[in-house]
Amino acid sequence: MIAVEGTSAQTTAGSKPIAAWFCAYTPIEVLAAAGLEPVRLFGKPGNSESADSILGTNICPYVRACLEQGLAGEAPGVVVFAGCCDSMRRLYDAWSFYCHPEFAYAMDVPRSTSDTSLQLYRAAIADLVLSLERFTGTEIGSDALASAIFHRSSADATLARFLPTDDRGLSMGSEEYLGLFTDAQTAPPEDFTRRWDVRSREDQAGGPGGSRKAVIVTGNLIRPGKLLGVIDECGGTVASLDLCSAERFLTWDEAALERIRDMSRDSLLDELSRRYLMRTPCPRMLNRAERYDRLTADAARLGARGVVIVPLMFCDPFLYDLPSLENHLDAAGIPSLVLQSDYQDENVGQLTTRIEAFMEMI
Amino acid sequence: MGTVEMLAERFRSTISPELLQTRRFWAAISALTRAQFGPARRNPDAAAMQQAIDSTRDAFLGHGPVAWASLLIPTELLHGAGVVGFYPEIAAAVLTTGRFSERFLQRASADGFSSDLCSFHRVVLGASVEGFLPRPDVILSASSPCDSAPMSFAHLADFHGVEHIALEFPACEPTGGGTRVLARQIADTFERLLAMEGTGSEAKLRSVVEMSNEAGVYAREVEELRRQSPCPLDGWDALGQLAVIHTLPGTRECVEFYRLLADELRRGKANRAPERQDHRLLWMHLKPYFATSMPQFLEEKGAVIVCEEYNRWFWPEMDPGHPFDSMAVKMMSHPAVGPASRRAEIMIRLAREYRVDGAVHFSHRGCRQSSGCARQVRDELAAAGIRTLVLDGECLDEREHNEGQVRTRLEAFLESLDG
Repeated sequence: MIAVEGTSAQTTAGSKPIAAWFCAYTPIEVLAAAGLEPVRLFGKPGNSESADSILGTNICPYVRACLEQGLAGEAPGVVVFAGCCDSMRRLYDAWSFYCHPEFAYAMDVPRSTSDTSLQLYRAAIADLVLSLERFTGTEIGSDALASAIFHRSSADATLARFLPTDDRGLSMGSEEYLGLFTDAQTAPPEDFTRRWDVRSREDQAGGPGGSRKAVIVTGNLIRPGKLLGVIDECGGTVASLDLCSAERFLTWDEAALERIRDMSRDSLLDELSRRYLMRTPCPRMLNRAERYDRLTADAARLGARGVVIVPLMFCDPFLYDLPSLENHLDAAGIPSLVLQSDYQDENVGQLTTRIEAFMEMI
Repeated sequence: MGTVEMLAERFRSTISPELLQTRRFWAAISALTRAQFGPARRNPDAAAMQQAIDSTRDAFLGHGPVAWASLLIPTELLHGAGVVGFYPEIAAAVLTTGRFSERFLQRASADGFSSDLCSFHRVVLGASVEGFLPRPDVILSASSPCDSAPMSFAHLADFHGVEHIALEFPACEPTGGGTRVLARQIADTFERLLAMEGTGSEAKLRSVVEMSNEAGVYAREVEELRRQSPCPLDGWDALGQLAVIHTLPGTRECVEFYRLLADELRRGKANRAPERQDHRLLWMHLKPYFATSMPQFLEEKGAVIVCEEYNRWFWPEMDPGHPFDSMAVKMMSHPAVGPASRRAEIMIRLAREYRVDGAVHFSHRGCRQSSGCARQVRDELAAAGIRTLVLDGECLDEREHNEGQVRTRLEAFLESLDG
C-alpha cells in the first residue's frame, strides 16, 4: 500500500509516476493505461487552515483536506479530478492555480444514466485519454487499456469476495474492512490482489452472525475509521459500507475478466463508461429511487436492523437527498441515524455517543 | 410597526395558496402595478413587471403547461415551445423582497433540509411544499452553474409527481464538443415540451429567437451607456431586474424593457444612479434581496455599481436558423460555467471595459460554486491590478445577515480605494 495520508510527496510508485485522484467516478484504468499509478488521496489530517483561506470553510471538508495536502507539497504532480460536484470542481480550480501541478485535468461526470449522459461521459473519458497521451507522449493502446482493466477487475473480484452476502455480517472488524478498500484505492491492483486474494477465498464463509446487530453505513467518506469500530464495540457489525471510499468504489465483476480480453480500444472505452456511470449511485446521481430501493433491499438481504447515514458537512448532493432518504427508510420501517461529519479525527466524542445510543435503540 | 408596515403585514397574511389561484387576486396585483409604474408602453419597469405578473398568473391559473426552469435554462426554449415558464430561483428572490421567505425557510428546515444549503433553494423547497408556487407539469434543470438546481428540483419533481428533465452541461471544459451534445438535449427537450400541447412551434421558436436578438441590441446599448462616466444606471437596482434577463428574452416585453431603458439612459432622463460617483464598482454574484441599508451606504460613500456579473447580456447573437446550437452557446457563455480561471478572465475583461476602481465578490453563504472560487477570482483580479473585496453575506436568509459587519468591510474597502 502506498501511504498517502500526511506523508511527504511521493511522486513515483516503483518506476511509475503517481497520478492522484479523488472521486469514485474517475476512470482510474485510463490513468494506469497511460503508465501512471493511480492513487486516491484522502487529504491531510488535522486542520486545513491554508485550504480554508482559499476555499472558505463552508465547503466539503474532504476537499479542504485534500487541498491542504496539495498546498503542503505532499501530493503528486499529476492530478485527475472528476467534476462530480461544485466542491470538487472548485478543488480542481484551486489545485491548478495554487499547487502548480505538472498535469491537472477535470472531467465532466453526468448525473443520469440516460443514453445522452453515457455519450457525454464517454466523450469525457476519450478527452482524458487524449490529454494523457499528449502529457505522456505515449499512445494509450487497446493492450494497455485491457491490461489495466484486467488488473483492476481482478482486484475488484478479490474485494467483492469480502462483501457480506447474508446476515452473518463481515468476516473482519469494520475498521479493517474500511482499510481493505483504502488499500484497494491506493495500492497497485496487482499488489492488492496478491496481498488479499488468499484471504478473500478463506474468508468467504462470512462473519459470525448470531446476536450481533447489523447496520448499513451509507455516506461519502468517513474519517476517522474508528467511528466504525464503535459499531463493533457496541455489539454490532457492518452489513454494508455504502461509501464512495468503500463498496461504491467497486466497478467490476469476475465476468469482466473474460469479456474484455479481445475488445478494441473503442469498445473498452464504451465498457468503462457504462461501468462507471451505472455503478451503485452516489447521492449526486439523479436515479434516486434506485439508490433507496437498493438500500432497503440490502437491509432485508443482509439482516440490517438500521442505517447509519454519515454525510460530510456541506456536501450539497447528500444534504438535498437526506430528507427523502430518511423518509424512504422510515416508510420501510428501518431506523436511521444521521451523523454529519467534519472529516476530522479529533471530533469523534459526540458522534461516538450517538452511535452507542443508536445501537442500543435498535 | 408603522401604519404602512402594518397594512403590508396584513396584506401578506391574507395571501394563501387558494387566493393565488383566483383571477381577482391577479387582477388586483396588475392594477396595483399599473398604479405604481404607469403604462407599460412608457416605463421599462412597468413593461417588465406586467409580463412577470401575467406569466406568474398564467402559471397559477394553469393557462397552459407549466414548465419550471432553473436559472440557465434558455428562456427562448420555453417561449418557443409555448409553455408557461416559471423560474423558482427568481421567485425565491421575489418572495424574499416581499418578506414572505422566512416561513418557507422554516418549512424547509422542518422538512429536514440543512440550513447549510443555499437559501434560494430552501425558499423554493419550503414555498413549493406550502403551495405558494404554481404546480409544475414538468421541471427542467441545468447541471450548471451549481449542484443545487438539479438536486432540489429532483426532490420537487418527486414531490409533485412530474417529469424532471436535467440538462447535462459539459461544465469542466466549456469550449469542447460538449456544446453539440447540449444542443441535442435542448432540441429533445423542445420536442417534449411541444408534445405537452402548449402554443409553440418551430416557426414560433424562430421568431422568439429573433425577438431575443432584438432585445439584445438594446441591452448592449444599455451596457455601452453604463460604461460611460458618470454611469447612468446603478447596479444595485439593476440586480433587482434579474428577472428580466433571466426570464424574458424572447418576448416582446423584453424588447420593450430594454428599448425604453436605453432610450431613458441615452436621453439622460432617468434618475437611476447616484450623482456622486467616486468609485465605480464591478459586482460579482448576487446581492441580499431583503431590506438592507447597503445601497444607501454605497451611495453615501460615493460608490456606484456599474457592471454586474449576473445582469449582463452575456451571450452572443443567436442564429434563428440554428436555435438549439445558439441556445447551447448561450448557456455555455455564462461566466459561472466552467473553470474559475474562465470566470476570472471574464471579470478582468469587464473590469477593464467598465473602467472600474474596484470589484466586490458577494459570497452568498450556501453557494459552493461561487464562494468556493472567490479567493482565486480575487487573486487573479489583483494580479491584473484590480482591487477586489470578497464580501461574505447571504442573499435570502435575513437571519444570517450581519449588517454591521458587511458595512464595516465595505467601508474599509472603499477607503482603500481612496488611497
